[in-house]
Amino acid sequence: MPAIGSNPQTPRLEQLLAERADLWRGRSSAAGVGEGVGTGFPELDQLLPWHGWPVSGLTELLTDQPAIGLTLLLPALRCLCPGVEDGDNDHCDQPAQSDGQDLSIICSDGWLLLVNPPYIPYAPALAAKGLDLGRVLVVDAPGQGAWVLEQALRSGGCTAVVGWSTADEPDKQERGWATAILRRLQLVASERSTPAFLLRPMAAAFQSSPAPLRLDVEAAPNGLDVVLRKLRGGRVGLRLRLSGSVGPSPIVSKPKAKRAVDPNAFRRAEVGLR
Amino acid sequence: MSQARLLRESTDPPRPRIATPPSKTASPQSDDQADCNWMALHLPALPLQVFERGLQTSLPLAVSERERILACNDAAQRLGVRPGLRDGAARALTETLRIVRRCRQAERSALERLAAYALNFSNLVSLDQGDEQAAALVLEVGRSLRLFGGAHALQHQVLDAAEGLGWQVCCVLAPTPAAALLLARAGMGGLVGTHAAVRQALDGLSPALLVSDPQALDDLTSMGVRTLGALLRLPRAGLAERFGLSLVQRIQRLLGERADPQRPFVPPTRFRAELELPAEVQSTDGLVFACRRLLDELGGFLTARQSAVQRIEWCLSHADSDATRFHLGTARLETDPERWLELLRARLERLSLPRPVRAIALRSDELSPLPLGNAELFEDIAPDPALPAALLDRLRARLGDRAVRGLALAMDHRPERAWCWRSSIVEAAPSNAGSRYIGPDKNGPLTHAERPIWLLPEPLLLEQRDRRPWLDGPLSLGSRCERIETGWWDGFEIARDYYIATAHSGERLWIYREMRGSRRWFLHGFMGLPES
Repeated sequence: MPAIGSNPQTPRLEQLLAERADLWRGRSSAAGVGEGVGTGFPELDQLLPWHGWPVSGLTELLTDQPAIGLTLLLPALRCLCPGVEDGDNDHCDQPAQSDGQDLSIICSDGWLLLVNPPYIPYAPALAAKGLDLGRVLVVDAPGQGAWVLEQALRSGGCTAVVGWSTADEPDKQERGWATAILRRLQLVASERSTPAFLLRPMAAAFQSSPAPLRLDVEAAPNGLDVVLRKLRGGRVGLRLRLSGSVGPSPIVSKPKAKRAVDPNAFRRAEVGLR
Repeated sequence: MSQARLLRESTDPPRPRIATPPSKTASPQSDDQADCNWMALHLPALPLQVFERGLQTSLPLAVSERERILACNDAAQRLGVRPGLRDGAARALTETLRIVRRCRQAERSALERLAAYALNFSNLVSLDQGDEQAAALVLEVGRSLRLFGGAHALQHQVLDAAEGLGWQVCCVLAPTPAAALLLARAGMGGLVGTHAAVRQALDGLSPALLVSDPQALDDLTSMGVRTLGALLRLPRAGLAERFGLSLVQRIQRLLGERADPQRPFVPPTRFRAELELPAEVQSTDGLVFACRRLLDELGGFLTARQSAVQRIEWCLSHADSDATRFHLGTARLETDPERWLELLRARLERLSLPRPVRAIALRSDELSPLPLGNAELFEDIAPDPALPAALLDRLRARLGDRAVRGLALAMDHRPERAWCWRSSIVEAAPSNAGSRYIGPDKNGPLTHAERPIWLLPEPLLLEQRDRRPWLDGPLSLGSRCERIETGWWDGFEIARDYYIATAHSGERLWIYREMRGSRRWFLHGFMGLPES
């Protein structure tokens, strides 16, 4: 019996994996996922099949500390909406190692839309963190957050959309977006390449959600604790301790089949499990 | 002008009655349209359509003048109303009939707006000043034919545009303005390419179209001249002697034997349009339908002037209460009526009208020249720069200007004043050229001390336990203290010691202690992750 691979007609396994993105690869689940934008936390990037936040589709951050969510998102938002003058974030202008051509699509002009933020997004800090303030748009639309998000995603006029929903708000309309609304938003978001983040209270954790990625976020001494609550095709329940951001990760990549998720990443993550 | 002609169905677009034979040669520049230098547009149903075109649904409607019905629509005709009836008699026929008095001023301004629109098709448009009853425009189209793809194509585009605006028109192209006008008034349509064809077309028509004086008409009839053809065949010298030189001159203009200069219409510099609604409208759909007519006119007006607007003002009049006024604005210069319509719809949805609407007025004063730009060679390289502006407009139309704002830095040390909202429409548009607004000094923010990413709208008074600030547990203060003491000159003086505190949960807070008075602690913001 001839050895596999001796016949040039017989494709090798590596070759197949490299060429066919639709082959099932067990846990890595890198197949068929879309593009990602770096979260700025390498530990987190390694766990996510997009190697960052998904560019298409909703990302839900569940937290009871409304101020926390933006903290986690800031490095990614800085990359999506970079200030022009600052020297320390010119990484966005440089092509990333792997697929630099995607940058032109992702680092394009458009609004960074903040819908119903819980407090005032403080301009001096955002500017100091490297965001382009001229592209930040704050929308106060109590009760119409879902409408605003849908319009923003549909329009294609945004580089990123962040929406807050608050459960303790007296306005019953806004109280936890219904699953039907989320499904609608997810449908719109999955067709566009605008990262969309929803910040919701922990009470929404038990509501079923069509978002491919859901994270629990809470404050921790000198950092954040992040728990993967839902990851489509991935492992959930991992707890990560993210300490101060180590600078934004510029990598915006289309994951290659050969770049399977590092199995050690899971082990490292489990060390942080309390 | 017979009144019967005012009765043509508005739904029935005028079809070319002079059948142009399928051209003998395939070339579009065939003989039959070789000389179509002038186009006349006649609006036979203007008095009626001034009112009718704003209504979405057809209701029996008649226009009366001097207590007699001048024109009525199909629905009224089905009820037995005829032009010439006395108003009282028409009312006796049916209760549902609405009779409105003829409004010459509205007709005049509608015709002028149509003339402004017609500048899309020709740079020389003139309003027919002659007969009061016959509303018509004359366009010099000889130089437009090539641009629009020939006389047939031009005629179709003009008819489509007129139909879109709610006007029924008779459109004739002929070698001379007078011939085009006369044929259009005769209710015809189509192309009359040569002088011979003009003669042929005029042959069977009534001389009343050319001769308005009733005495002269009687004389002609008694002479046995019953058609225009017969009149044209008479010797000119005799005609001049008998009916005056002006008739001969009119004939000469008709046949192109005499120069016939047209006075060009000069469009106004501002846009003003009104639309009367004979039946009051309350529904959003009905209003949108009526407003669309005005927006289409605005679109044509702007295209003809190569201008765009950023702001339009609406005024909805009610029967017996104050008019509802509102304006719509966009972030970019806009000409497209569809975009305005979209914004209007969003606005009407959140507008509560006190009463049904009787009339609509649209005005726009500040016209800006249309910026000209190059189109992208490849479509997908850059995202459409119009998209962010379009989103901003849509959000503002529905939520109001105050709900959608941008952020900017301000030159002030006080945390509350170190930033401000940006809400002006123009200012808030994103630009490519580094729009980070850092006040007058471009060197950067005033301080490099760490600032919170969230600021509380009002500082929150913190509880104190054991003389230490407390928020769900004791707060541990960082070692560094930032003193901000300023603002004594403008009534908002602050004197505070700011600390970055860590809460029991690990959350980093921005708190301050008053330097004077009761030295209370306040929570003022939430910090992001510490810089590594």
